[in-house]
Amino acid sequence: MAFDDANILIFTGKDCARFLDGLSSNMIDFQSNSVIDTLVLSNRAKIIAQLHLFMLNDMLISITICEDLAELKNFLNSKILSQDVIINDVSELNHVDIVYDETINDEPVATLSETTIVTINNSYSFEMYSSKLTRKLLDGNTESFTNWRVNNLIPWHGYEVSSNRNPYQCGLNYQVHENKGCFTGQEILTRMRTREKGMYKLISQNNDLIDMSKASTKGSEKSLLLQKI
Amino acid sequence: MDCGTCESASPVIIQKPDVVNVNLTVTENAKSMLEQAFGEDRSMALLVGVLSGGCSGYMYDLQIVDNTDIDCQELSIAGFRILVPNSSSHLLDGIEIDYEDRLMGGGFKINNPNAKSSCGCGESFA
Repeated sequence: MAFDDANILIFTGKDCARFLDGLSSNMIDFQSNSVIDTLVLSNRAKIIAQLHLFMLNDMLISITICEDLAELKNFLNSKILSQDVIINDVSELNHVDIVYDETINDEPVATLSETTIVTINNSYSFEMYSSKLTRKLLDGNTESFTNWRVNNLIPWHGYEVSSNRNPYQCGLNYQVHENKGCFTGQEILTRMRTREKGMYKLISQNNDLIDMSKASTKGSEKSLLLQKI
Repeated sequence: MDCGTCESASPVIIQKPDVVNVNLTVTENAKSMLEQAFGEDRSMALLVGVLSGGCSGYMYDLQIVDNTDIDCQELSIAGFRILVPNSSSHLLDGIEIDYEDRLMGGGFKINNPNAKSSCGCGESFA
């Protein structure tokens, strides 16, 4: 399935890993050939962007999913101050496709015939290739993608994930590192977690068993719901 | 991903905030702690900076340095050299550097009139 709302940002400069570690919810600690899924949050812990970070040719690259890229760039720029961080937006120079329901690569990041394949959570992949190349024709469609998400409990931007929710309200708990210490929004998330208040979990249920107006993603047989814990 | 392509992209344009001539004050408690830290040597400086991160988005960064590559403005307060990076001057104008002598959570504290909010530990602000 072609995925057209992912952006690609490249971070360079000696402070870029520390910079992203301070501003996002997961530990930015690169092992060899790894992908780190993390969230940039507002002071109120609302989601500004999802970043899938990996190293390639000594560059720190982010497949970035957000509602407003300009807002994200302004937010990041305002935090650079005197740190050695340079951000390049190469979204228009590359296509990004999402590949799901297929055999997943063993390697988190692999390059095959001018395409970089980035595997997320052993579950699906992003394929990135130059926009000079012809866009690949993939056989997915919105319905099959939605059903795949419902069956695999994958929250998605514009459905479960939005700038009105924090990670604990849309099933992105695994992108919050509980012991990394301070990051923007951390105080609110820690309070929610320790008091067990305001937390939601993502569940999948048969359509005939639920009030469909409450479904966050409507599948053909089952749907996704955010249920208060 | 064609890295040759990516390298041709220009960096995102950074709107740098205006540099402000910083005024800051140091409380008597903080001055006596700086006396202890510096001793007789006044060639060292206290670098008062801001980094991204912390619960509220920005966090203070205090260092004792000989010199720095960062573009700074230098202030002299009670004989102490204090360096403030120009890139964070808009966030640090008007601050008061204090020292709290407590068993828990003590140490240097920054009272910042520019902060709309700060986190519980006082190390970060927005």
